Amino acid sequence: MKSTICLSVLLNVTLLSFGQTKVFKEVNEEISTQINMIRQDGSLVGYVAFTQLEKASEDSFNYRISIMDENLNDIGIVNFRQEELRLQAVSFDQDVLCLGYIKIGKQPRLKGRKARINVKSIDNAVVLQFLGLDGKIIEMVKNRVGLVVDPLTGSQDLAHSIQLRNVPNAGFACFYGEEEKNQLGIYDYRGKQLWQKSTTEKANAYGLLASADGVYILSKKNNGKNEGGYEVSSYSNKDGAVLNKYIAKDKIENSLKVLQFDLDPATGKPFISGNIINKRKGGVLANAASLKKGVYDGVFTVNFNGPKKSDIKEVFTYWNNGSQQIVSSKGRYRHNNSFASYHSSFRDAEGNTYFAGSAVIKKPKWGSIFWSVVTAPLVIPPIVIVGAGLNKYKMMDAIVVSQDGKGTLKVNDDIKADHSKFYSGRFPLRMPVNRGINNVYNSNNKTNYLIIYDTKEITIYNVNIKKTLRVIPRKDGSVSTYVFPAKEGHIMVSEYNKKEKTSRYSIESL
Amino acid sequence: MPKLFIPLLLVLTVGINHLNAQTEIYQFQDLSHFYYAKQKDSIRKAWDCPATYSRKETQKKYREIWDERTSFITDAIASDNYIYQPVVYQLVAGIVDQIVKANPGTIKQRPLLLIDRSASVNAYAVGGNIMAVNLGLIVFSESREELALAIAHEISHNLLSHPENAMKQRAEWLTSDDYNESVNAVLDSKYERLSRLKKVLEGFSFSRSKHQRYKESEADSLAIQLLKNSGISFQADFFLRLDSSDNNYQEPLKQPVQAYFTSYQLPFEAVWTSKKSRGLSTRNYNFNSGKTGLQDSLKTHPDCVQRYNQTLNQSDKNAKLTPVPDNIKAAANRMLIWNMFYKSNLTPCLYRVLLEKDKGNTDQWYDFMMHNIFTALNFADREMHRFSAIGVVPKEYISKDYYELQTMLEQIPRESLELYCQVLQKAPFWTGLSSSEKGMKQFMYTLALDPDPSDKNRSRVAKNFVTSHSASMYCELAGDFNKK
Repeated sequence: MKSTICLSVLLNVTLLSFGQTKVFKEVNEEISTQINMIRQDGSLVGYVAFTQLEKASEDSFNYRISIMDENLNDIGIVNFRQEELRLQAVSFDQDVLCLGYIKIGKQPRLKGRKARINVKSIDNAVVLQFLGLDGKIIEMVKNRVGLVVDPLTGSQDLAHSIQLRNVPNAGFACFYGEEEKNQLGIYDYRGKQLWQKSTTEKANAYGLLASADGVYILSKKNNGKNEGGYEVSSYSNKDGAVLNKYIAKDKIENSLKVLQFDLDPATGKPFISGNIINKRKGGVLANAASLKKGVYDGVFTVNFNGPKKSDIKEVFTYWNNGSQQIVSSKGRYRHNNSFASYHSSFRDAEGNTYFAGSAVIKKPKWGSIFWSVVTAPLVIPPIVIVGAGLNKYKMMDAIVVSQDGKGTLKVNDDIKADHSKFYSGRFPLRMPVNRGINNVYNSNNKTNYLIIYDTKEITIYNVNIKKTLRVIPRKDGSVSTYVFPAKEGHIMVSEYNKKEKTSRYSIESL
Repeated sequence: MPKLFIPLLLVLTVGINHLNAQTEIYQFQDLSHFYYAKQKDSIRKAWDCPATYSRKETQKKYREIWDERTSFITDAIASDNYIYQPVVYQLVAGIVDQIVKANPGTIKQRPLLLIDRSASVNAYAVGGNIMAVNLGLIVFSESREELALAIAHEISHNLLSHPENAMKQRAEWLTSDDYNESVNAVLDSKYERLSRLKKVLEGFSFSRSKHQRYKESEADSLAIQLLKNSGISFQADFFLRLDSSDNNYQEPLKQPVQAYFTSYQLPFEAVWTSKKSRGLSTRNYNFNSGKTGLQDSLKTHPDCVQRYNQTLNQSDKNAKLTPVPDNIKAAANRMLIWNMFYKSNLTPCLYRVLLEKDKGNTDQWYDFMMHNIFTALNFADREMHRFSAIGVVPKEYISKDYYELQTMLEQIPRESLELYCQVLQKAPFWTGLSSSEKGMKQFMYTLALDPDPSDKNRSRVAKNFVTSHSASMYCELAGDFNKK
């Protein structure tokens, strides 16, 4: 049933058992498989394994698409021949799968400065494949594009990868970016383009969401070191007309740092949420020392209840004005005397926004304070000592804070997690503990779960009942465990046994 | 009336009663790694590859394939794929002996008979005068004659040297100039290397399957002859029954799923059996348009209808069929259910338990297995392996009831699952069970409900079980934790 995931491995084993090892090895080396999740309205509904089987001619390959249901059971296989394709996105709606590939045409391999050009090969294209659940390819749509060549590897790619989202009862929204322009469009279930929009506005990164009443693009204009610079543009599903452009700033021109751009589980409408950046102290990438200085003024949620300006509902919670009981004006939580470095944000079915992150505590470096006093008569040494910082920081348990519709902030819970050693406040926030936090929502019981990835353990936490459900060691003997989001209310547990060189996958209920 | 009749009747009655009274149907020492240890060693020693080919390369390949077969059988013995259970064994061995005795000219030596624990409805010959009959076939067979046909068929394969010839054919093909040229041509080709390679392999598979069909027909003919000589009736209908052997889990249950649980006072919510997922498994996909049911190539027994037609004129018109004794079928079924449980195939295992209940079977051993299945599921859930233990099967291959059952096992909330374990631990059926089964209750509690989930605790309880019930068939499971 789970044969597809291990297709190349199986082929390897089968082929090698026949002898003439060299031949089978070489043939097997040409086979590559890539697994993508199939999503509909943000929920995982299945998996697709895209396998490049062999070179079929001078400029084409034989491919196999294996479609698996949400339980990893094979439900169908489609074989086809095409020019070189790379699968980048998959979406599903109305029993139609839409797969987005880039097609790489033949072009000279360029290196150095010359390489970073918008290669207008006649062959490069974005290919959208529309596939029915009867295994028939409904349509293949090709749009010529210019690809960017990586100066180091020589590999080609779009400036911004393909993103696909299903537009309920309409089709699929598709976004991708070339060097000079971006393309946004909607296709119906037969693969017919309903509209396409080109924009030349430049940004560093983009996100795409679609709902029944509009298509939304989140763009981040500033470079990676600057935490602000977000905008949300909304387009009409009907004709692609720009209906609104929301600049992510509060009323006093503080920039907003977006932690989440997603569909609200209760309404199915988009929202953004994150930190409000203090315009004087903030801006650049925050670290533990800047957290202490009050780099953030609070948290926010912006609901896009429709594509128009009038549909936008903003909720800002400021702590810098001392209005919040649980947190000081500089963002120090009173219950555990810690600052919070938020990693992710999500919404529940009741309309509350949650912010999940790590608690960071501060302690004075008594040694440095002592030596800066002792060496005070000298000029240089105390400057050096003080310059290195008189405080040390430590990352503690995970923290979950909720913001209700009126902006009231509450500490939801502290979740036991790995603690770091003390470190300098100038280090990037996540460096000491490489913590990742994912939200999984189960619409059946309207429950939010968190998966907290720490160095040693993975913690599964139920937000609604404030309870840790499971703590899974990431490494137990020779077995390494990984956890990924899976179908609604489930996680995919992958166990790799280094000794036996085997992988085991299981989809487990939360 | 013969003088021996009454004592014999007494012995038989006592024997059958004994089998009914005891709940363990075999001992741990009946598993093949223990019971067939000597045979395993002698197979290893005796199966030396004969010098058949003057061509070095072909002989080398032949030896490789030969040794693969030796490893297959010795590894299977070591892995407890076989079992010696006297009552079941004697039924099958009785048929083998009857066929051997009646065909002295054709069968020179009695084959080594193994009972394979697999649920698959099958039997197989591995050559070297060894044959195996699966528990699945014994449970499936309605009559001794039906079982005898499968046995005679496998004996025929051995008599006709089909396994040995297949090995030779493979060695010859893999070292032939034709094969080397075709494979090298794949390397020389720039395009469609995999397709070309597949064609080479399919060419061999096709000729092999063509040959295989011929072999099957040859084995059928000889088998019918052997049966006729033995006075065992033959009916071509047996082939048609075999054709349906893969549909085991398409058989519906007699009661709604929830009835089987409420009878144990277990709370049940109808919502557990209806799929909540929005995933592709719930959609109407149809990638094999026009085909329904299992494709012929996926069946365990292809070409059954053809075999029926070929042998129809040899059917005995006045065939007298002897049903497989209920106690033997029951023993085989229990072994099969236990083995499925041990291999953690919990849904098919539970489904078979429910099918037994449909037959009106009130044996408490099945209640015991119901308990084991739910505690094992809870243990699997604790270990994050619930999904694997359920073994979710697409809806197209199973009955509506099976689908509901697997959905229930998937969706039953953790708290309810734990409650099931607790209720079943306190259920009244335990009073009628043996001490080893009561020991299993304690052991399964440790796995599923004990607040201390450490390996050390589990190992301690497993050790206690193995020490107190060293001959119990359940030591197979406890032993795995004792090793940890």
